[in-house]
Amino acid sequence: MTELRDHESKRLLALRNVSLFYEQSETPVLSNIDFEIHEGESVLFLGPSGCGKSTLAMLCANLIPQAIEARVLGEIERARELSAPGGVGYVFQDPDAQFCMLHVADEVAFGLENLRIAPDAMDLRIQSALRATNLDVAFAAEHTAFSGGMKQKLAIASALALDAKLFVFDEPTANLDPASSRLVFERIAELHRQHRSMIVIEHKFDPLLPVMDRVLLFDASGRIYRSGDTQTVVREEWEWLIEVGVVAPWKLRPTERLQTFPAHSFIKNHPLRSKDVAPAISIVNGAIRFGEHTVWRDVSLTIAKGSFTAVVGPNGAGKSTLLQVMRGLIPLSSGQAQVFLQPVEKWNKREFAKAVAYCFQNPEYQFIYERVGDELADRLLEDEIPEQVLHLLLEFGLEGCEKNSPFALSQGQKRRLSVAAMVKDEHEIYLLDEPTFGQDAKTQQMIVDHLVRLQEQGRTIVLTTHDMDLVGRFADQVIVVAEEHILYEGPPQGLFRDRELMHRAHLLDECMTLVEEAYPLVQSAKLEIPKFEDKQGREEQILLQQRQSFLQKLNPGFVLLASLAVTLVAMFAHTIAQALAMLLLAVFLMAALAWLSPWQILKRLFPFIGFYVLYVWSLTAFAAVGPHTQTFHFLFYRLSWTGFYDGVVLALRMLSAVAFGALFLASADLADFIVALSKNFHIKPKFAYGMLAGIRVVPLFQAEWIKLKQARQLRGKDVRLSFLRPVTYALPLLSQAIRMSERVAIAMEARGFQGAVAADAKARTYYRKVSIHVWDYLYFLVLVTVAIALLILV
Amino acid sequence: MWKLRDIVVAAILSVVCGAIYMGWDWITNPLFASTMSPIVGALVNGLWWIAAGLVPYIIRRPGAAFFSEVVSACVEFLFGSPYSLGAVISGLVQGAGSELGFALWKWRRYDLIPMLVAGALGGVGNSIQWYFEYQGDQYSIPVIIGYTLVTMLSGAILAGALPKWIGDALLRTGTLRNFEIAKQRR
Repeated sequence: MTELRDHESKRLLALRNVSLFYEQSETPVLSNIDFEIHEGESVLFLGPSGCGKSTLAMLCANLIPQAIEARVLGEIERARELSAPGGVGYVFQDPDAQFCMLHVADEVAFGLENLRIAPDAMDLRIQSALRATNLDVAFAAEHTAFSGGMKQKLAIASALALDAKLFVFDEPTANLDPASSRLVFERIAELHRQHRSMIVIEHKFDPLLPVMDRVLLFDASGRIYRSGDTQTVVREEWEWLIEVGVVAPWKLRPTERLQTFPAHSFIKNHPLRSKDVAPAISIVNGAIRFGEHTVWRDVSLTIAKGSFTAVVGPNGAGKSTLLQVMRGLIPLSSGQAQVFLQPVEKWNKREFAKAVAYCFQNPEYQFIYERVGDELADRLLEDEIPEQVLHLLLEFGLEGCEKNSPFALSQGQKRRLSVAAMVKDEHEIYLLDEPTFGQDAKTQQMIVDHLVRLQEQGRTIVLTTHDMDLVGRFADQVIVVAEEHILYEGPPQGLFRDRELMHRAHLLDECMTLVEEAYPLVQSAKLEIPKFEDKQGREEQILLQQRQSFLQKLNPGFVLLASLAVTLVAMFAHTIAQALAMLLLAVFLMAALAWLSPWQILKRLFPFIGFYVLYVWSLTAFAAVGPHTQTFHFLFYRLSWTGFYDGVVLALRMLSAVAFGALFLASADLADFIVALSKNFHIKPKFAYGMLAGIRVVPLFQAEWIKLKQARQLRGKDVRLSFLRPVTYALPLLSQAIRMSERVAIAMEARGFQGAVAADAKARTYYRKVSIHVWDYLYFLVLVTVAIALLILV
Repeated sequence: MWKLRDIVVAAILSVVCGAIYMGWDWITNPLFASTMSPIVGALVNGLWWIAAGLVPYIIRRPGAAFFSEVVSACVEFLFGSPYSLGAVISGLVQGAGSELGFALWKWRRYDLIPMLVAGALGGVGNSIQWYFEYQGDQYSIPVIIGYTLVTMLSGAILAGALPKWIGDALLRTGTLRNFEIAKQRR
């Protein structure tokens, strides 16, 4: 690899005859790639899934082979400013897996620290990066609460703060709903206006066509099929894009959509069946409330038997909830839901499972076996594979996978497996939550074909989707859920005539081109209010550095060390008086140094008292006793007063450990603690920051856990058994955790967290102002001395 | 050499384990130790250092057992364990015990025997803490010996064999392709 000289810097990157192999594999992921990108140019990568688009993008960003091992043949020339840390800004697909800090300012500053920017200069750069991305949030805001679109904007801001010379967007909207996708598209358009260089990989490319200068088409084998002017190539190669599976066959050409949805897009023109057909599902005056929050109300609808119904609307409007109500997974807060004229809650569980099938958005939740074949047979198979399973494998393109783990399949294969498992038994009603979301066109087509076939056999289909082309082509009935109500219920034609309604419900966000005036950009801002409101706004930035109590001014590392040391000292408390003294010391410090009120102190200690009663019992019943001690016999227990006494000492000691723990928790901020570990205690940054990156994904698991449990309930007869197989619970969660941590690590390295700044605590700068003062030593020494003195004196 | 992805995956798995420990804290004592006998309670001890088996089994780096056990213990403490800072101390001693087990084979072998030994040695750390901190010294000598042996046995199974089984199941899912466990298998 050579660096380009400055006078040639118009060209940022040149690849000549580049091929790439992942370890062990003999088949190249990329073959004979010739590619150049110049300053100010924006390039769109299109190709079927698995064609190596992302690999090429990561190669351009130097993430391969730095963060991901691979064998690269051929010649790569990179401009100097691109090889420097932070030279390439990378925005990844999963908005949750590219952050490693908790607060907005820390997140942007993380990249700046990697560039060793002086801490005093950071605030200004953070502020201007946030402003340039139109992200109006407080410095101290926690980004976990952001919508996916806001997270991606934050990722863009982080790259802007580093003054990246090339931006790579690697399917940035694949996990986003249309309104959030729109925000990202607007940012990409803005970057293009500023003549930034960009590589964009995006399946929902319609809105981006005007702002992409060039397009690269990849074929399935990882070669470049064609490249050239975006509009021309997409127009001329539309049939090819359908054929290789980049776009679904029902998708309208971008040019067609510029006029409204044309009449010929509706293949189905048969009118909705009249009311005398028995309804499959009906809801009367339904409402769903979670505490104060109303998801939707006054919902009355009928879904005719044998119809194909699509539920559409913005994310968070309650589409999935509506589907879950139909399956009886969530009870209505008020009103009634009926399936085949019988209230949902009156159905016998087994019969209900037979009548109504449900398919979750994340296919992994439904897998309870370790082999694909078992999954399809719904039992552990011997070597022989039944006829029906073979048939299903073939039909859903899974042949040869029967021995594999369901979790080892590709995204598309997993979805096909979950649909195959759902349709293998006959049901009357099929409920599917976004069955085509995030899938390649081939898988989408396979699924939709199957649903259409089911409908032809008289089954009822209800699905949620964002794909309006799919709705137009296949649905008999469409239900729009938005603004706490059902805004529309009827045939798609009627909805598509009502442009105003479609905009209101954000149904066009991901297909309208960005230049179209009929749809002003500001519209999408409405959904962008984060779940919390920081009233102080920007003043919060000061709060981030501001400490209140004495304890909060101390270094969190020292506070923890002191608490741990005193807990160790407390081990030597052998009388009730000594143990009580330890507890009172902690309580005193909680009040005096951490400024907790008596009520707050009580609240922190109280929950544990019941637990310690058990310890008292343990020792009372089982402690060794001398020959002359009086004991009572009760069942097989032998109770003694000495044991009871020791038990109380232990309980008090444990309570004091809780109190010293609470003392630390009341003072410490997690991010401060982690930074202190690296900055003050010189733990390698990759360990300190890696730890924080791991810890911060925990809240994401809570939601996953609930969904996983629901999915398990639906397996009917297997529920009770699956409890005995913890692996069926652990595997989906753990494998997701591992995938996520790999992504997080790559994203951190992409932001310059490599080499010395990751390995040496002194090689980086720190945005947070944690430091060690003489007070920290004093606190530690005084506390430990007082504790020892108490033990001696009492 | 620890790679960043090793550290992040160790952290995530440790957090998951920390959550399990927290649940275990509240469940086990009423169910076993208090109602039957400390020795019966010791049967379930091993689960408290499962991270010290699972993480090294996957990433296979020196220090993995100690690091992950300390992190998971801190998480247990943060989640509101009744043992509070005592849990952090447990993490230190249990992690050190398991680490010693892997060190015996110079961090080169991760098959069943080293896993069992590491799990059992984690139990030694656990028993030492129990003796000093949780009034273990108040029981009779046979109870103390019984407690220690049963804890080691429990560690070998729950923090040695069980994590190996989980790790192997995870390996079959293909998600561990880029980690040492899969690389050594090739």
